[in-house]
Amino acid sequence: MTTDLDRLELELRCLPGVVAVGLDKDANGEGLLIQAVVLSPVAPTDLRSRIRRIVDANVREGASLEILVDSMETAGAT
Amino acid sequence: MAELGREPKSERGRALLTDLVNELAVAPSGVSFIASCLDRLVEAWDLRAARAVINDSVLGLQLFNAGRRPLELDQMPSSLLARGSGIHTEPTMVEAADDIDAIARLCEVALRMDRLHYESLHDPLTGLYNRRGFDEHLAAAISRSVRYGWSFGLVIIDLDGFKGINDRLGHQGGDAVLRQVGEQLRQGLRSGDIAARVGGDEFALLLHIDGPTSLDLILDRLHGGGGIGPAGDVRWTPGLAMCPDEASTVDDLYRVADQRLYEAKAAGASAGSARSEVR
Repeated sequence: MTTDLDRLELELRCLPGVVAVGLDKDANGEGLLIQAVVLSPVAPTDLRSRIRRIVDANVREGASLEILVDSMETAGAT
Repeated sequence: MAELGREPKSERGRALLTDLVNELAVAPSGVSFIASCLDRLVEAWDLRAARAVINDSVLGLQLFNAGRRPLELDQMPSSLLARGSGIHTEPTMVEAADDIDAIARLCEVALRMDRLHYESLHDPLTGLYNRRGFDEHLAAAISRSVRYGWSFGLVIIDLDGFKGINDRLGHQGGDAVLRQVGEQLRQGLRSGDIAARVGGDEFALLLHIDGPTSLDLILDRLHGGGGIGPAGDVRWTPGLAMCPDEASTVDDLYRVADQRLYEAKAAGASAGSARSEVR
C-alpha cells in the first residue's frame, strides 16, 4: 500500500510527457511544492489540467504546483 | 561515517547495496525507494548530486533526483535524460561504478513494481481508475467525510443500451464509445472529482457535491446537452448516493447508488431527459 505522495508521484509519472516529479516543502515551509517536469513534444494538449486533477485528487490542502516544460530545443525553461 | 571513510569504496558500495536490497523488500513504494537510494548514495560518498535515469518499458525515460527534490533549473531535463539509463553522480564515482550500476538495477526493479501496481488500479481502455483504484479513493473520502463532516456523492453511471451499441458497431466500436465516455468524464469533471470505469459499461464518479441539484449541473456539463458516441446517440443513466447522509461505507454507498440507478432506469431517466428523477 503506497502513501498518498507515492501515489501522486507515480500517477504523475504515468502521464505521457511527464519525465520527473519533485516534491518539497514550499517557500513558506508549510505547504507542499510539487514539480512536474514535462517534455513538450510528447505531452498531450490537456496535460496541465490532467496534472492539476491528479494533484487535487491526491493532495487535500496546501499544495503549489510548478510545471517545468522542456521543449527539447534550446536551453530555457518555462 | 568516519569509519566508513577508511573502508575501500567498493566495500562501502557493497555494504550499501546489501542494505538497499533488504530495504526494497519492505519499501512502501518503488518511487520512495529510488529517492532513498539516491539519498543514501549522496550521504555515503558525500556527493554533490545523484540522479537516476530509468528506461521503463511503458513509462519511457524517467528522471529521479535524490530525496525527491525538485530539479535545479540550470540543467534541462532532456540533457539529463540524454545521459542514458543509470545513476549519474557528481562527481562521477568511477571506482564504485559496478556497485552503483547494481543499485541502478534495483531502482529499475522498484519502478517496474510501482508501474505494475499502477496498472492494477487503472482501466487500460479508458485510462481511468478501475474498481480497485476507485475504491481506494472512495474509502479515503469516506474517512474524511466521517471525520470532518464533508459531504460527497458517489454516482454510478450506466450506459443505456450498450449491448445494442456493441451489436451495431462491433466490439471495436463499443470500445471507442467507452473511450469517448472516459475522455468526456476526464475533461468534464472538476478538480478533485474522480472518475472510474468499474464494470463493462458502468462508470463511477466521486463528486464533491452537496446533493442532487449539484449533480444536475455537473451532468449537464458532462453530457454537453446531447448524447455521446460516433452518432451522438448514446445516453447514460446515473444513480446517486450521498455520504455521510445516506451511507458511510463503501458497500452501502454502492448499494444506495445502484438502487437509485435501477429506479432511474425503470423510470427512463437517462441523463438529459429526466435528471430531476436521478435520486
